[in-house]
Amino acid sequence: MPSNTSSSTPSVLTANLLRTGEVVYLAPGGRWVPRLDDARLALDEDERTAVQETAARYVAAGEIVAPYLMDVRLEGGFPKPASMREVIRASRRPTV
Amino acid sequence: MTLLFRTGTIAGARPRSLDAGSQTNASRAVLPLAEWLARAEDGSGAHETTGVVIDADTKPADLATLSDAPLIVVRLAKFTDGRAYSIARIMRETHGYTGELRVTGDVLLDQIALLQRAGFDSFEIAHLPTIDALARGHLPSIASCYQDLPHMPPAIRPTLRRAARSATANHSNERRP
Amino acid sequence: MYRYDDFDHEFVRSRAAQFRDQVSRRLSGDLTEDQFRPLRLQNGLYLQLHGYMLRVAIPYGVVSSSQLRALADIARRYDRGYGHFTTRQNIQFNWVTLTDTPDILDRLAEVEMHAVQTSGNCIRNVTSDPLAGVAADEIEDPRIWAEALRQWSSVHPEFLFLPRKFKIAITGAAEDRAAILFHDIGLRIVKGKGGATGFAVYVGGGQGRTPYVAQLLRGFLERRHLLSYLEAVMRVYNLHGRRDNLYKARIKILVNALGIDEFARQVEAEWQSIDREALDLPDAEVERITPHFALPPLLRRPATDGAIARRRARDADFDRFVRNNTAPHRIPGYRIVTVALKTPGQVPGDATADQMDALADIAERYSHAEARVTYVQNIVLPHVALADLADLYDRLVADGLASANAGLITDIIACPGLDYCNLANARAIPVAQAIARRFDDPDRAAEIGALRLNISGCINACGHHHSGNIGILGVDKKGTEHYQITLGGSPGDDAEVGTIVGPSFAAEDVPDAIEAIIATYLEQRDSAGESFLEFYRRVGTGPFKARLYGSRSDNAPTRSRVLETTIGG
Repeated sequence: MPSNTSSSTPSVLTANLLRTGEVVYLAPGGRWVPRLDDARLALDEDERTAVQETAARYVAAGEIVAPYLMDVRLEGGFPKPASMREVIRASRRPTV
Repeated sequence: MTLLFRTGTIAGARPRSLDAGSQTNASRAVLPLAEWLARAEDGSGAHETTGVVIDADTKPADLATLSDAPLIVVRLAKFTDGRAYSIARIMRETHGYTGELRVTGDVLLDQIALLQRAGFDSFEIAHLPTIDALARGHLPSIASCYQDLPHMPPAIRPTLRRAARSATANHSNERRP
Repeated sequence: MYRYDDFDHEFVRSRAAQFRDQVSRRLSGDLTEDQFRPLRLQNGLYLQLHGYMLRVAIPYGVVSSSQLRALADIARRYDRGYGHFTTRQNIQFNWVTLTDTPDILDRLAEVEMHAVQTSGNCIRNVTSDPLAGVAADEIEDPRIWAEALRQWSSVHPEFLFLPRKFKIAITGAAEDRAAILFHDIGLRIVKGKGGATGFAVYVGGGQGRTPYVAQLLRGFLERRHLLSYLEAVMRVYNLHGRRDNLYKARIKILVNALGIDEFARQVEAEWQSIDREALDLPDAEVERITPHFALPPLLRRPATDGAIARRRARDADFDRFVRNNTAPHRIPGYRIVTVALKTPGQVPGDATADQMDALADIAERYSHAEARVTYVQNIVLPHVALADLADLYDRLVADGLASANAGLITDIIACPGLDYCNLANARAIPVAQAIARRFDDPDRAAEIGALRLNISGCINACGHHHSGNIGILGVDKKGTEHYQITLGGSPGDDAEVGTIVGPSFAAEDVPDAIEAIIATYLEQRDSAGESFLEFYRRVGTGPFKARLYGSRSDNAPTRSRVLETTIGG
């Protein structure tokens, strides 16, 4: 599974829903949510491995596609995208 | 489990039979290219009863030597390797090969009709959903085709047909045997 | 324009049905994403930054009013109410779902359209001169052969899994308006000895990571042998193009590795060995296709029009529109009109569903229900009576489509960039908008004159930055969007790849950098008649570098001055 992360920063598992293509994030309890704020944080290698394994199960079940780990910053405990690409993606619209 | 799916003769427009290996060629000995070529050179004629298996990167010059084989098996390492299609057309159209042309490896349902139109007439299939679909008689293909390839006459527009062509051609046929 | 017969209808319906079946097998789990991806790409369906994007072919750029209405309908029903005309005569819908796509393909099939091979490692939508059939400088209409190629390449079983994508462009005019020398195969209709027409065949052009101008493969190919010859080219590429490295898999790499002479020798050998008789297009089929491209019945109209002349004299905006956005038609009394989707501030190439409907109505009323899309992301109305120009213009003004800047600095090509694209490193659209706003003054744009400014959001170069007189390439510089500027590219008969002028600029500095480049040109050109490209070819990058990077030259602005304004300002 691709991973756009470095080991020292928190990360979030993101993907697209297979049927609609909608951008989603893995949330606690194995739910897929549209808001980055609601995403489950992976703070160390074990957690990163765990969310990737969860994602792989949903890929196999045909619910999501193209999962990958993305870096986030924490603001007030909430994950915020660390790159322009993820800012645009999380906003669900172009900047223009 | 693998399935040998055959589409009958090379002139057959649609797949005819589904079998699990009862045909003669299904159990025929198949040799790698180098060994098959060695047999072809030893004068025994054994290569005429022995199949040959080749990869998609086989040199065109080697393809020219394979016409005597009763069975040519092309190994498809990945279904996106389009060289197998050119190999099939070269064997059928350039070298006039009339024996069994089989594809093995990463053979999937959606490519079978394309491989068939390129000249393959048997398919060794390991992919379970493909086997299931064929067992149900489900073989996706396009009803009409814009290319009048010689070994599998599809539904083709009258003005595209080769028959129409040869009827109007007034110069000699440049076609190779 | 070409109309489907029963056979063509059956083909597109069958293709749509096939895709519906493939989608259902993807959803049921019979197909993994790796197995499905090439299948959906061969039907134009991408998974992009925000979700699925569907690229619909507008073969060789010809589109009817009813087709435009269907595109508007799709934009409303299945998308967010707009579409994006691309640099290869396609339209993209950015917000479709996988499950809706089979229905969209059915809707397209109803109006003789499809998304066949608009992506994937196969022969893509064949592009052509947007002025085909109407341009005064045409030798022969290329659309007959473009249509033949469309059919031949559609689900051609041998060439659906090539090493990489494959783009063909064809022109039949003296001036190349299809950038054929930046295509995998470029075809130009030429007159041979004795006056018969045939094709000059070019091979190995392309932009992307390794840009090349195509080389001449065969100076004259008899028309009747087009398909068999292309089969030979395709087969040599299919068998010998690299499959071990995505970045070296295009035919341009093979051609340059072998050398054009050796490549030509291999093609010739293959061509000699194949059954030309069987593969060439039968005369009967050429005769069937040809009448589809006859001119519509154009009534005789006066070659000059007093009312139009008077309006031009009193209305500077209208005069500018006529000067920049219209060109001579083969038939006196008619003009070819460009509707530039380039109003400063808009997204280059985007059109709303309402605008598509408006264009459909306008084309119906003024251009025999026919329009063209161009690779510079504009719309062309090919058959407009001179006497109708003022009415047409007023209608375009009312619909916000009267941007009078075709061919000028604000007529910018831009790819979707990081706002939409999964591959992009940087945004292209906001940069295009900022530059277009900066050069919004039409008198200034006129003073600058003909200029092609192209922007790509990554090295894949969908925004054709290599062939822009000014090219802008978005790069990711330690997590921030930066832009590298190239100068001197040209897409036409004098095709050339632009030269990088120096270190990249931050997004907010790009408009000032373009300003500095333009100032250099305006101050130093030898006359108003010397175009930007001619000036560049005379002086090279030196004067531009001096101005941009504040070298030793005393009158050059410094970098800090270049930093004053921000994007959108």
